Amino acid sequence: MGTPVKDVELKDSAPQNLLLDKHVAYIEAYSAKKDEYEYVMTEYLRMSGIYWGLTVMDLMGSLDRMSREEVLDFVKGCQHECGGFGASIGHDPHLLYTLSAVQILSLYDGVSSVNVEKIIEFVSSLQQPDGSFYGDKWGEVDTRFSFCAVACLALLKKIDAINVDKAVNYVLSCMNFDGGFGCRPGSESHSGQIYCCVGMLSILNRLHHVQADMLGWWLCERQLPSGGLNGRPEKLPDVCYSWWVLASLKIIGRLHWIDRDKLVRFILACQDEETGGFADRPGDMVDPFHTLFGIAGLSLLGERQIRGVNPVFCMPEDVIKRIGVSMQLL
Amino acid sequence: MENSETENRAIRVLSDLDAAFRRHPDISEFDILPVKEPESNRSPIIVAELALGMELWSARLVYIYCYGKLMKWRSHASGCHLLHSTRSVDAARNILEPPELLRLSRAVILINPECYSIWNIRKELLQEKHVSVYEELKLSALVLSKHPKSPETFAHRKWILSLSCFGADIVDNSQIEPNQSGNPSLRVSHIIPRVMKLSTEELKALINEEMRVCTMAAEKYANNYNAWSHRIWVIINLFNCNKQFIMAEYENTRSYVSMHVSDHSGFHYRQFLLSNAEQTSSILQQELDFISELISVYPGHEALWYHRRFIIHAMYNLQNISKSDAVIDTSSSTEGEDLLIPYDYQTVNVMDHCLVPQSSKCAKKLKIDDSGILKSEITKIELIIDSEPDNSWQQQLAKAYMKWIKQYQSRT
Ligand SMILES: [Zn+2]
Repeated sequence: MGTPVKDVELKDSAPQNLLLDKHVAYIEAYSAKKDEYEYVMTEYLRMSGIYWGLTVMDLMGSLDRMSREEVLDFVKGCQHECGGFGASIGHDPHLLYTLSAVQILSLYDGVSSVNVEKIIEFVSSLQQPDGSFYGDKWGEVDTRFSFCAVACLALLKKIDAINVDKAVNYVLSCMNFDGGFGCRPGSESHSGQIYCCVGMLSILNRLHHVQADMLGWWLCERQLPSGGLNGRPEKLPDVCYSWWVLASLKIIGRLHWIDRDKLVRFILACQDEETGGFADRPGDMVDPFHTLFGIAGLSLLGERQIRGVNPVFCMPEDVIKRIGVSMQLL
Repeated sequence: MENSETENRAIRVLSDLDAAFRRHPDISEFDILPVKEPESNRSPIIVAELALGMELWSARLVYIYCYGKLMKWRSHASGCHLLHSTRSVDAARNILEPPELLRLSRAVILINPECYSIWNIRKELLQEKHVSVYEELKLSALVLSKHPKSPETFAHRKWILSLSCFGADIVDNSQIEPNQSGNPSLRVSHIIPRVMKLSTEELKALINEEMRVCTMAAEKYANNYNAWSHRIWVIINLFNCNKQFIMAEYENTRSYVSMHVSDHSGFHYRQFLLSNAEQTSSILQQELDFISELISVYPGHEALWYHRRFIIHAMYNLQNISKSDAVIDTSSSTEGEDLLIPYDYQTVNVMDHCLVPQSSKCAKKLKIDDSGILKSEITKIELIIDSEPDNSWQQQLAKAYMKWIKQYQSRT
C-alpha cells in the first residue's frame, strides 16, 4: 500500500552548493533575450518580472549589470493618467503592477521621476467602504491587494492616505480558525495570502491581532519530508513558498521553528547547474520568479553570500533602511 | 501594408477558429494539442463532439498575431490614457471595430487567460452591449475547461455576475465578524443588502450554473483554490448565505469530498458551509463520524486530518457557547437551544488571549471541556497511532493531529 505523501525525492546528484555566478548570468541573459513567444506571453506581468529580476540581482550584489535608464524609462511609460501602472505599455493600470513599479523605483532611488501624487490618489481610490481594496476599477477584491496598497503607500511614506483601521479590519475578517488568512472572507488559508496579510499588519503595526503560535504551527506544517515547503495542505513543495512561508514566520518571530538545513538542501536542489536559475521543484524549468524567491529564502535562512532581504517588502534590507520605512516584527 | 507569410497563416488559423465557433456554438471543452509543427495540410483547429482542439504551433502564431493587433490598438487608438502619451498621429489606422475586437480577444484569452487587459477590453464591449452576458459566461466557462484555476477568468465571471445581479460594478460586501481581536471565524455577517435585479428563478438558474462551472473546475484541478473561493463568493454575495441553499450544498458536497479525499479546498468549503448553517451539535457529530470513517478507509490523507481539527474546534466552541448562553444570557436567546454561533470571540474565542496568561480577559472566558470532547478524541487517536505501522504516513498525520489537539487542550 503506497503512502500518498505529496512530496518529491531529492536525488544525490542534485546541486548542493549555491551557484551565484550562474544565477547572475541567467538573469542577465533573461532580460536581454526577447524570444518572441515566451516574451509576448509574459508581457501581461512584465512590470513584476522586472521587479523580480532587479531585486534578485541586487540581493546577489549585481544590480549594476542591469540598465537603470532603460528600466526607468519603461516604468515611466507605463503610468496612466489615473496614477496607476500597467504591466507593460498597452496594459491597464492595476495595483499589482503599481506596487512592482514603486518597488523598482525604490530600488533605483528614482521615485521622483514619476508622478507620486497620482500614485497615491490611485491607490487610495481603490479602498472600499468595508476597508478592502479593489485591484483595479473593475472591482476584484483580494487580500493581496490590501498588501499591495499598504506596501505601496509605505514605500511612498503616505500611509495616512487610506483608512487604516478599516483596512486592518477587513484583513482580520479573512482570518481562519487555523490562524491563517485567505483571499476573502470565508476563503481557505493560503501561504501567499498569509504573507500578504501578515506583511500588511506588520507595516501597520497591528501584529498583535495575529495568533502567532497557532499560525506559526500551521506554517511549520508546510515543511514536507523532503525539506521543501508547500503553500497549503496536500500541495507539492515549491521554492516560492520558501519565501511566503519563511517570510511570514520571520515576521511573527518563529523562523526557528522549521528545519533550516533540510530546507536549504531542498532550495539548493532546485537550481539548474547548466542554465543557472531556480525552478519550483528539482528538475523543472527555471524562471526569474522562482530564482528571486529561492535566493530571498536563502537570505532569510542566513546565507552569507546573499545580501539581507527585508521579510515584508522582499527587497534588500538596506534599500528599506535608506527609505526609512519602519515595520513591526514579533 | 503587406502581410508577411507568418501573418497570413495566423489569419487563416484565426478564421478557422471563428468558423468552428460559428458551426458549433455549443463547444464546451477547449484544449491545446501538443503538436509542435504542422504535420499536414489539414487545419490545426479540430472539433470533436463538443470539444475544440488547437494545435500548439498554431496557437503560437495566432497568439502573437491577435495579441499584437489588440495591444497596438489599445496603446494608440483606444481609451488608453498614459501620463506620458506615446499615442501616434496615425491612430485612425489602428481602429478596430467591436466584432474584430471580440474575435481577436477570444483567441488570446483561450490561450492565455491571465492577460488581464484583454478581459478588460471584453468588459468594455459587454458594457456597450456588443456581447451578451450569456455569451461571455459561456466563453469564460470554456476558458476554465482548459485553465481551471485561472484567477483572471474567475474575476471576469464575478464582474459579470455582479453586473447582472445588481447592475452596478462589483462590490464584495461581505464581512465576517467585524473584530479587533483577530477572531478566527468563517461565519459571515454584515452583508450590505443590495437590490437584486433578477427574479428568484433567474437567480437560481444563474447560481446553479455557477456551481456547475466551479465543480467542473474543481474536478479538473485538485485543491483548486480559486474555484472554491469563487463558489464561496457566490454564496455570500449573490445568495446572502441562504440557509436552505447552504444545507443543500452541504448534502451535495458529501459525495464530492468522499471521492476526493485529498482535496483540502473541498473540505474547507464544507467548513464554510458548516459555519454558516443553522445547526446543532448533532450535525457536527455526524460530520465527525463521517470524517472518522473516511480516515479509516483512506489512510494517509492530510486533508481529512485537517478537516477533523475543524470539526473538533467547532464542537468544542459549540459546547462552550451553549454553556455561556445558559449562564450569561437566557432572555435573548430565541433562536433555539443548541444553536451554533461559531467562534464569536466575545463569548468564546479565548485561544489567542490565553496564550498570554496575564490577559485579564482570559480568566473570564475560561472554557472547560465538560463534555470531554477533547479527552475522548485523544483516546481515539491514541488507538489509531498504536494500530498503524510505525512511521507510516497515516501514523505521522495522527501524531501531528495529536500534537495539535494537546496544544489546543492546553490553551483552555
Ligand atoms: Zn512556485
